[in-house]
Amino acid sequence: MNNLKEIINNYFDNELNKSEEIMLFTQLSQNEKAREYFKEMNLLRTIVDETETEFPDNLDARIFNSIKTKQEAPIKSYTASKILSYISYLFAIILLALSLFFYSESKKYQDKLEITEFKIQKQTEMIQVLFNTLPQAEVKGEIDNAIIVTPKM
Amino acid sequence: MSFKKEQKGLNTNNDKIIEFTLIYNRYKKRLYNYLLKLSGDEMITEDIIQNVFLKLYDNYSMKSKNPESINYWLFKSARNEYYNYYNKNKRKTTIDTLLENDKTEKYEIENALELKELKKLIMRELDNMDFEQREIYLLKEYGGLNYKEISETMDIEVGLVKSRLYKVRQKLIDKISKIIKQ
Repeated sequence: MNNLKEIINNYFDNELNKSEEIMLFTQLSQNEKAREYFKEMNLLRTIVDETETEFPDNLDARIFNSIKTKQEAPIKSYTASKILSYISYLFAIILLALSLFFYSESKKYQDKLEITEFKIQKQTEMIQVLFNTLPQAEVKGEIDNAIIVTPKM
Repeated sequence: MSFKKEQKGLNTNNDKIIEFTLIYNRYKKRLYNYLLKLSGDEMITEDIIQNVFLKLYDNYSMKSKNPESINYWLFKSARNEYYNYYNKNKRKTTIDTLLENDKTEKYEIENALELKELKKLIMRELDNMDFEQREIYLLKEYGGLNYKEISETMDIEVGLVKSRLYKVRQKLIDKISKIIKQ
């Protein structure tokens, strides 16, 4: 009987194959106790089915709203990343403008320096020319040996 | 993002939501009933159900998951979530509250009163049972899991699942028989 009860349990749990089912129903037709147990199992299943609760509609809405919120999140982050990239582009442009400005400024100073160098060179040459125009200096000694000092330019 | 890529992304999202909805509709009632009977609290059940399905949506990939693994994954996750909650709060299950809030007065049979009594009796008996025995029964009757799935979810042998299930049913049948014979 215990073995038959186990088979009945398996039947209610959908764990029997077709041939086992045929064997079970043959046994049930011959065994009154087994039939009784089968009825009890059937009653238990009916009562358990009656205790099932319907899934609440508000929970459906709650779950799908949460999913909707999750789906919208990547779009928001996409927009945020776009804004971030615009800011970085702007920053790069500002940096480029600043570097161009400083480059042009340094170029101006370089030109000024070259002009000043040229002027100094010219002035040095002028000083030399002026120096050459001066008369030759002659020094005569009072003793017998004459010492003549001639400037070499 | 180019238009084609955006379109492809939208299609993938639509496919995902359709697949998810199919799975959701297939398992929601079973999972809900299993958790409701396990916890005895609608609020906790709803919170756990929401968390589990959101996790499923986040981790769902149409290629990698098959229906069997989803079934197993859902019940395992729900069970873990419940035990995490239970260990934190050590809350006693109150089946009475559950029965009071039972809005499914759908049966229209002559012995409705008797059936209501039997329902109460079954729920009380389950409430007084060992946790392991009760859980196996809930996974089987409300979760609709087979022996193998229950053994995997609870990490026990299939033989143990069968014997515990048999014992629970035997106890319940004995109680019902007493009422019916009275």
